[in-house]
Amino acid sequence: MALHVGVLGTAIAIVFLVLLTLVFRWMFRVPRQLPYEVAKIRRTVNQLRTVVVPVVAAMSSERAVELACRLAEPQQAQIVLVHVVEVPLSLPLDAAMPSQREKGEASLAVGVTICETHELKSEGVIVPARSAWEGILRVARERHADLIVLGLDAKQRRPGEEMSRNVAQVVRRAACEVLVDRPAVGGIDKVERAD
Amino acid sequence: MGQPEEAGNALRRDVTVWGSFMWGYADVGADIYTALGLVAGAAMGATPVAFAVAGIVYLLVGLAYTELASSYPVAGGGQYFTLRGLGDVWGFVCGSALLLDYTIDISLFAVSSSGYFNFFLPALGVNIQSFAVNIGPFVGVNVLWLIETLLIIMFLVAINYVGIKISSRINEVLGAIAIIGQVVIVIFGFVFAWDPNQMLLQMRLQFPDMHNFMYGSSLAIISFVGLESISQVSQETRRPATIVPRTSISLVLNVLIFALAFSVLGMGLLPWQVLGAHAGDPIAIVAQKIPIIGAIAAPMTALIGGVIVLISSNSGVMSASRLTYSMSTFQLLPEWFSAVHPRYHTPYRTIVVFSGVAVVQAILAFLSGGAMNTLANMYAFGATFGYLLVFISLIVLRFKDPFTPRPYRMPLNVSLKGQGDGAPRIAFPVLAVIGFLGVGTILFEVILTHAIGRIAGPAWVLMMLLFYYIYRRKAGLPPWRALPRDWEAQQRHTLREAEEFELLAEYEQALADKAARGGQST
Repeated sequence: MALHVGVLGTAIAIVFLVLLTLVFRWMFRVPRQLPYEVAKIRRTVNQLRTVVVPVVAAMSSERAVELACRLAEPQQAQIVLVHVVEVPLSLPLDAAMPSQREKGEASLAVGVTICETHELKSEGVIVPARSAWEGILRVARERHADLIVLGLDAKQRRPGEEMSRNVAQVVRRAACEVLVDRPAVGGIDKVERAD
Repeated sequence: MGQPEEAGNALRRDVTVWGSFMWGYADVGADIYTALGLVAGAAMGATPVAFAVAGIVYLLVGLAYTELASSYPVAGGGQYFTLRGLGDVWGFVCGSALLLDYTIDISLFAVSSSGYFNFFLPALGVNIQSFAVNIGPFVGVNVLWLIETLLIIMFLVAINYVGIKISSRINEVLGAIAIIGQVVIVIFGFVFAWDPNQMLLQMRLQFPDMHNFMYGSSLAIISFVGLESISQVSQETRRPATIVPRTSISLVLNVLIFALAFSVLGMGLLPWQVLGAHAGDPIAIVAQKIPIIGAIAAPMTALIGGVIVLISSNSGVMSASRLTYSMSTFQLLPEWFSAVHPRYHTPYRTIVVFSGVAVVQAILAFLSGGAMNTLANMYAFGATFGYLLVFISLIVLRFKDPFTPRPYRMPLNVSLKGQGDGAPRIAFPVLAVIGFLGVGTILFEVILTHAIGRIAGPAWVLMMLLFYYIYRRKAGLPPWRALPRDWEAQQRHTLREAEEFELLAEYEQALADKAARGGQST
């Protein structure tokens, strides 16, 4: 019998072998099994569909957006960025406060960019309120938020207090889950000083 | 209320990833050994095209089974999915059609396996033809071959009786040997012997007419029957919702790759007439043409063929017993069949009884020369009819039961609004509709072109339906109405028992959401 090596035949044989190998390799890579308790806990985090993050012009708030994005990424949750324009009691609630709105828009733009890097759906909202915590809670309620992520800004804390008043009120009054990020001592401040 | 898992002795989860794959491969892998010659005889120069057409339909069937078997990891396969989607009567009809295939699997492949092993008898100085005798009106009944066949079936009954672990291990080892052998034939064939011009010439000049092509493609579907076995064994598979999608998709791709490779290789080595003339051993004829391994190709192929069809027969024993076990636990068959052996955790009664049916089929096959053809015709009918009902059930279940987590979902879905406020959206499976049309076309081809199958197949289903009617009447159960069943409790139990905890947590969450919305029955 004559030995005849064909180029096309050899190519088909190689493709055949590669395809079989790939199929079997994929088949045997079975994801690991999770105990019931672990699965249930993972499920509760996977349930987070809407995450509200208050934003101001501070590194702690931008870091909160980044943390929220990382929590939202696996289940492609929506991020709602909120900037609250605090209106003094001496003014009506719908008073135009152009400089504050401008600052808010700038903060929201940074937040939206962070969300875009994670390919997450995001929405920026500017709300007027008498105090920041009121505005944050209103938005969380209206959007049926599952989680509020707050960045703790050391500068806004009064001496001797663990949290600022706004953060404390949100933690106390929010119906949904609240996550407060307190940076390491000197952590973010160090970076800010270097900038 | 039929709840299989609540019975005292549940089936034991002993099947691994490789085991799950091999239960399917055991069934499907053997089919190409018989289908290649039959298809070549009908589809002529278009043999690879006929395999490709049937392969596309098979791919869709595979995707449907992957979704359903991973969502509902219990014994029963197509019968269980149809029961959940369409109710008791259709569940029974689907089960009957598939049972037809499984009992034929046992008998046909036991006959075929002993036939392959008989290849070695001349070397031992035994002439198999000398054992042919006349028994009354039946001429040329080969007694030795018949005894070998019955011994093989009894051996398979014995290993299945004592536990799926042993029969699964046998499948795993023999299946691995068979795959390695097939790979060697394909690689050596393509590298050293395949002639693309010969294949193209046959495709150009010897294309069949429409009737022959339809007959060929409907026969080609035979080479893809067997995916069901993975679903049948899912109740005994470890972490079925995770493993079954992987093994099902791998099996679909593997079988497609092998079927296309063998048909293309065959047409590039031999004229289709030669393949068609060797319907019993087409792969051996292909292997003989290959240089280097050609000298040992015939005995090697006979050995591989014998091994593959043996495990295929084994797969038939397992699937027929699990299918009927499932049917009896849901009161589609008498409860007597649902007994699980207290020591071995196997459905021993269904193993013995339905292997007994296969013994009768094997004896008939020996008594009548035409019996083999009859069995092959009915095989195509049973599979296509069962698959048709499975596609309908998949579509219906997407509407009836949107809460059950689907670890794998058929691709290409259209999102529809759910019923009621806040109800989950329904993903309408477009590919299932295409699959339904594809299988429907092949069933139409079977009815149009298989003279025996179009009579014997429906006759079997009607006979079973009559048995079902009598049983339900005697048991005081409504024959034509579905019995009330707590599917939610059963699904929870199945997922917990299968240790699919992520899916269980997801399912419980979906049910809690449903309850919060005011409830809506599945």
